[in-house]
Amino acid sequence: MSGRSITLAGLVLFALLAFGWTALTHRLSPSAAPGTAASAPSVSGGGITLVSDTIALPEESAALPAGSDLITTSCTACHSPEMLTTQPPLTAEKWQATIDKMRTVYKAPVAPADDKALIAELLALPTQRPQPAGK
Amino acid sequence: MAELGRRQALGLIGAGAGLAAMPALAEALVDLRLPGGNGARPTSGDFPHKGGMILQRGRAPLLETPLDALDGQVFTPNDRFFVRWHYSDIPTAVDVRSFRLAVGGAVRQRLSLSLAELLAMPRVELAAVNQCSGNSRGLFSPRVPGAQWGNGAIGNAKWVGVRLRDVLDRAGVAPGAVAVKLGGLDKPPPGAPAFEKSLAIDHARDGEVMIAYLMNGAQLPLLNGFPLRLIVPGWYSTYWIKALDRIEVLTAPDTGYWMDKAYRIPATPGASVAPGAKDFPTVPINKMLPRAFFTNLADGAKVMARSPFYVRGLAMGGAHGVARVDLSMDDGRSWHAAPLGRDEGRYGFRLWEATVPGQPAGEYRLLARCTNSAGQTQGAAPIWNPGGFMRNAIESLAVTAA
Repeated sequence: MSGRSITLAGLVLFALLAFGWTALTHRLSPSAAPGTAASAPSVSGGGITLVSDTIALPEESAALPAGSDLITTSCTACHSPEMLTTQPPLTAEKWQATIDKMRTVYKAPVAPADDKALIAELLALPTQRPQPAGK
Repeated sequence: MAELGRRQALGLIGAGAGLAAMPALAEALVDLRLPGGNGARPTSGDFPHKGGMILQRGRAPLLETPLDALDGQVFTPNDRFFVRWHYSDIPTAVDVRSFRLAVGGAVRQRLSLSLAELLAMPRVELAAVNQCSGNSRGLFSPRVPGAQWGNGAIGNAKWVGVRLRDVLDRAGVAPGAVAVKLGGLDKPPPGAPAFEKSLAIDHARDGEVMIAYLMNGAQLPLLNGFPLRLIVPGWYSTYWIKALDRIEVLTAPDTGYWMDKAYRIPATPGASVAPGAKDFPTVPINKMLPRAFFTNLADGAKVMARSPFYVRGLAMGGAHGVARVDLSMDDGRSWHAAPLGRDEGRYGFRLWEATVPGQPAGEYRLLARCTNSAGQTQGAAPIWNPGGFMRNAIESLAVTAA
């Protein structure tokens, strides 16, 4: 009976020491990259270690209201919709200038024939309505 | 939404200058109090190696630092440092063994440097504020298109790396060099210009511009430019190329889109023109200007009447060190110096703090103004330019003593 207790206590003590040692060594080995697996390839020099890194970007959360088909085909291939919904109220002329820039510089797939309809969709975004006085 | 409405209403007490982002709806939304509205933004803790950030845009990521995350510390934690990419094709994986930094153009010897080779070169360390050219664009009045940042497209870090000069010298700059063009791993959509920026050759070789591989003692988060980022002390972030993988020495000025057409400011004092002005001469944006921010109090703060209250924040000197921060409670008629924290380097943030004497019950406006060691100071009147660049008007916040 007492012999078995001693054996049991010994096993528990060994388990605790083993766990403690693992936890200690884990804490003492610094990893430069937060969240990077310890097995990731690394390069070292002069006391600094750089570790290969891979990230996954989160799912997009922003959405456009119904009736934004032209916005979707013209704008959101290159950027998510917040770029449009965070803008202050802009005039049709300002939106035209932006469309021109997107088409000329960034090769956005916008047919000039669609400009008017696209601007109408942009101006119809709820965030484009002027804020009521006092808001 | 009712909560948000109340915050917006509170924002009206202050004339425009939104300061700290106020958490609302249990941290789900913040209101940046942009003039004219539409300043509500969700927060997100979902981006890799990032804590709670103000989500300006998911793709390509634009993540703003909440001002309360800057409070009480000179160095901005890496996981709260703002993020800004132009193109959606950003690097999401870097193998440190195969990564190479290419050095070419007008050099005697083209180089392809491994990270191990860079780690073996002489090392430099520097504290420097990294601020988006368009930081505070959302506070422009009249408003202008672009990323609608509040004041949080800014951060300060201690950077460790190698001098750009040493890398250029290793390649051997050829006679006739005038500029150095820099690019990174992000890729443009088909047919669009790569995001590349240039520095004049003397600037690139000034011994301060550096290629950093450590940020606050750790490797950079991928979203902040791992494995290498160009550090251009005192200059706006547009030059701080992320995931830097190529350097080209030029014998003629860079005529690429990102130098010649984008990130241009009016060639006027303070980069300011009359709202709506067009066809004025421009120059590439360059040196930063002094700014002071409040970080422990937000606009609309309430304090006890006749009881002293504590206020603190951060200041930056731009291209020169912070010389002083002054506070005013009487609309700038009188100014009182705020004690400064330890100097961690002239390009970095400097803490300032003050205990404001107790005030009778009433409404007050507290102003903070930074002056740098070159004598440049902040003005009360906000500037305006169509790009929404370089805002540095004196910050203020409404305080109610009751």
